[in-house]
Amino acid sequence: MIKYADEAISMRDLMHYLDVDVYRWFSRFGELTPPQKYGILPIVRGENVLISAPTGSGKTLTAFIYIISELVKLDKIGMLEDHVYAVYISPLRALNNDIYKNLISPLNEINQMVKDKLGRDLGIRVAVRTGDTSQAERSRMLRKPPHILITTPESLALVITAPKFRRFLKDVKWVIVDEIHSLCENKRGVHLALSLERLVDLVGGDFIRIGLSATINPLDVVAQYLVGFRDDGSPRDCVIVDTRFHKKMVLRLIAPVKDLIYVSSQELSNSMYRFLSRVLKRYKTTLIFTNTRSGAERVTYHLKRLNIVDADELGVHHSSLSREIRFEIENKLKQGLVKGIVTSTSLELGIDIGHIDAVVQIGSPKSINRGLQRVGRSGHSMDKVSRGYFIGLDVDDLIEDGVLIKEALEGRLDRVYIPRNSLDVLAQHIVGMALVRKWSVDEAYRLVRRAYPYRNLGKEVFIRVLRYLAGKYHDLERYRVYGKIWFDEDEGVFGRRGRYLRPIYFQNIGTIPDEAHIVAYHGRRRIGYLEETFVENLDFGDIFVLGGKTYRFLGSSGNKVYVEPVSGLKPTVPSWISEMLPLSFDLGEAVAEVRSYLWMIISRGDYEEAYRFIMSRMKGNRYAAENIIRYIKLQGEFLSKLGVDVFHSRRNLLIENYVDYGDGLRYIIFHTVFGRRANNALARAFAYLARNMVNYSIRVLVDDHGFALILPSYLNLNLDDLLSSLRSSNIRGVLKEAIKNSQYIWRIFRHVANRGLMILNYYKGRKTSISRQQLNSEAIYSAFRDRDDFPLIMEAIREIMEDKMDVLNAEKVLKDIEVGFRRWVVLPEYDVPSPFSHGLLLRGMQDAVLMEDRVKILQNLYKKIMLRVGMRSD
Amino acid sequence: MIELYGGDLFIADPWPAVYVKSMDAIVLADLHLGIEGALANEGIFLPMSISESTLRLVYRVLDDYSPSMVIFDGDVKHGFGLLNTSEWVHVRNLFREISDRFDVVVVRGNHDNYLGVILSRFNIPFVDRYDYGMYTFIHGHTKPPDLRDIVIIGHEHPSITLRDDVGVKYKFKCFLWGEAHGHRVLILPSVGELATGATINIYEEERLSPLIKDIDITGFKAYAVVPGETVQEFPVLKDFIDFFSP
Repeated sequence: MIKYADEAISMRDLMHYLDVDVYRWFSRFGELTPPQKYGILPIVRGENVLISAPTGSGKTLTAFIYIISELVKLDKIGMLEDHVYAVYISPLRALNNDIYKNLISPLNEINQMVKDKLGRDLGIRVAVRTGDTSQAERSRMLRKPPHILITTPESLALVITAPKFRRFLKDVKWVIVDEIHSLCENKRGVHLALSLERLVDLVGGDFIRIGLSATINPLDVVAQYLVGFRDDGSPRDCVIVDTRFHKKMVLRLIAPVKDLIYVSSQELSNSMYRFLSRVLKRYKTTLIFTNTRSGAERVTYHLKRLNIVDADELGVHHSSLSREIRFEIENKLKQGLVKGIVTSTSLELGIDIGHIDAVVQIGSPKSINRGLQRVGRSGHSMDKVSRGYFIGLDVDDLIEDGVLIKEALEGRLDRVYIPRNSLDVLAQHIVGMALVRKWSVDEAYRLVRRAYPYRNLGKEVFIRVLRYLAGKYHDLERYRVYGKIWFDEDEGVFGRRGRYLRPIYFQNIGTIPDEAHIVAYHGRRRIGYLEETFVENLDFGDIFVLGGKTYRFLGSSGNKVYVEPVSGLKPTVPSWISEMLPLSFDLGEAVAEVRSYLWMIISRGDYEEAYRFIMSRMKGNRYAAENIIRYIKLQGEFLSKLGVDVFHSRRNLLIENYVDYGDGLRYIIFHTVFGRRANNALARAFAYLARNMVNYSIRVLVDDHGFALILPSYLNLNLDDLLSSLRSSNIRGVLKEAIKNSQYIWRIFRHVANRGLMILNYYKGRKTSISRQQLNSEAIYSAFRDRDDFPLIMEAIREIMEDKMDVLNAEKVLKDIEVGFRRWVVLPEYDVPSPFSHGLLLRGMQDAVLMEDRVKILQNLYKKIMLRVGMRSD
Repeated sequence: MIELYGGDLFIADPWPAVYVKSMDAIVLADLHLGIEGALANEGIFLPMSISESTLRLVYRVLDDYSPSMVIFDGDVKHGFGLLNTSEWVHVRNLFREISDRFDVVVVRGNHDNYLGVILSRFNIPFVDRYDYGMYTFIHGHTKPPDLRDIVIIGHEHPSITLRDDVGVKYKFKCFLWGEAHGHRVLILPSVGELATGATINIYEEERLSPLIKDIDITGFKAYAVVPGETVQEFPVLKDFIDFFSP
């Protein structure tokens, strides 16, 4: 059962539970922080706990104080044994090093106190084990195992499989999972959930689980993710400590200029840097989030150029920078030597970065939780105020930011989404399990279903994964190389096979995909690397930025692209669309609600109320209010010009039929503020149906606020038929077909094949490079195209449908339409796009749903070319 | 059949193969059999059915045209080294199936090391070049002297990528037919499924064969193939080069 902690204790109460010296050390802090007040007692009682609290609230000590105390007690009576008692897991290596320091110094201080009394040192050992740990340190750990092991999810999977280390983990009593909010929403979290159940198997029973999380919602779901289920399928118990909203926040929405639409980019950027310089001057230390790595570089570059603060007091921090550079900046921050630091997302998580007075967010953080998490990096202790400035650089961003502020201040949060039944991660873990011992299928299946993401996994699917690993999908069993396990289906048992299996597993563990990089050349000179997806979308003549310089794209061949440097030309393609975060469905709904409310009051002429609403509820400055009001008014006027008397709302989903006579294309623009994930699902499902209706490949354009289907203007698509053909009951089937015919699955399938150990990143001690094989993602996918029952194809489709896209909410939207809660409103054909669709048309993410009939495609292309060639010779 | 030259050289549509009437021969290039085994040695485990479908395609061409002779214009197998198990099985199956029914000639490709071991069992000639009348058949990774008027090569795995009206890209294997260094040159598409390879290389540095290394390839004509379905003739490349997608 999941229940909320309701019993508060005081520091004095802890006297009864903690070792006397540990208590003496701890009581110097005086008061308990809110998480400590509620969180320590359940740990003392041996209950599983999930603690959700802002950064700087003493969460880590809440988790560790009782564990330290127990270890000290054991040590004092000479009962401390040579094995691991507690495992601490966090997603970041940097955070691990911090935690190590934060444990070592209290332990040293406590040790000193004990030594003064007893005249001997305590022998409690703490060690960090991550991918960075040297061979020598690992050997040392095997001789003298740590009592507290600090590690990452990947290294945990490794140590529970490694024969020499796993014996030290047989008596683990506590497992702490930190930053659980950043793990549970992706495959690393799925991977961790299975590792924890494998650890239960190793221990031979339950250990105590302690989860630490920043602001997240809903807590009961995250708690269940942390603790999982028992063998009989009943949920394990957990106590939730909810101290999320205990910190004071001051949030401000900033439009840097009076008119974001008609401003030159020069003017906009000048105003933004003027604002940044004011913030940087006012506060001792300011943290600036930009969402993307390239953005972080750009902002830092300009701040330095403008000489607003001393260049030495300004730092940039993102994941593409080397470890040394990041450490250096983190250390400077801790020592208070930095005035401003610019980051993409990498400083979002709880690395102890010292004192930050204000946070600036450039562009939208796309989710309420993430926005709060970032702002929470400032005012690093419970009694300080968190201060956040949200700068919108276009009106869509501005509205998103403002609604985020409003929702956050009203105490609303986004719901987490936890991926389920990931078959690639499962396959990897089955290999790990097989390496350890022989398993009966039932026993292994029970173990897997204890993990929250697999609670509903069907047995038949589980067996398919075993078959895949046993090489039974590759038709020719006799080539032993394919089978990683042996699997006797009649007896219902499986185990390891082959001498390469252990190195394969150890070298390829993890869930973070390795992108195939494509080398850019100027003539024979190597310029740099590009992502495969980026290259796929480039056109002859496109101009893009690489390493701070602009290049023209000339052509590609295999794993190479050819470019030439150009100067004085603007890029025609944005860099790294793939980096951008999707808007959450809940925040999108709130945006739709606010837009329609504002239109309601604006349309009746009550501007005063509109200003009041934006400035007091959304905390906007005067410019912000002016921009938002003007934008909504423009859209309203556009609609009335078309003779439409309804406005965008959660209920009214408007569809534009825009024809661009310049490029000869028809854009059917759906205004659906559901976030990119749900929009992607709707867009591709509609595109697939439209493709079948007009017999032509359909290009799609997707962003957080809507999506568009693009087809040649000479084709007529009956919109009413299209709209009525997609229903909540058939969207999954339609989407599955759409995905199989998209280019998107090529890359995702390769990632899945990597995780599922079908395509190894490392083999026989060498790094295998996909591109070196002259084998692109398309070729790999095409080898499996029609194998719908192959587990890794199933997984690629599932990952796209449920994780990359949001088919659940897409279904919900269609259901709402069927019951009349929402409706499509189709606008008449027009040759100008509405103000609300400009963002989508400029920055939308592109893909296509392809025709299957290759002959027809070829004939169409031929006709098109002959037409053009004919025209030219006239 | 699509005539390429002199009432004698044809594209054996709808296949990635040519038919030479005076020889009553079908010519195929770049099967890359056993590519799965070679990739498996690199840690990439793809289904074995790839080579099987390549073989099926070869048999269908031969059924369709019933020639008396078959010329493999290089790279029958994929691995550079000793034959791996999957290569051995697929290559043996191929020649066991066809060696009794057709005169078979194998022109050596750069991937064909150690192929002779199998070929000698079936008494199949394994040559660096094969000349007949006005034709020279070579794989194309080298440029031997004294070439005849028409040179037929593989090796390049040519394909073209084109965009449709909404900007979607498609890639098709193709034949390329044009003139280079005073010879007529026909570049064959690959038969192997996975060996789709690179888009047509208008960039000289990228071209593999020394035969077409330093020439303007945009004077070549392209014939796009959907194997088993159709072959579509296109104009010379320079007439529609701005449609190419790199």
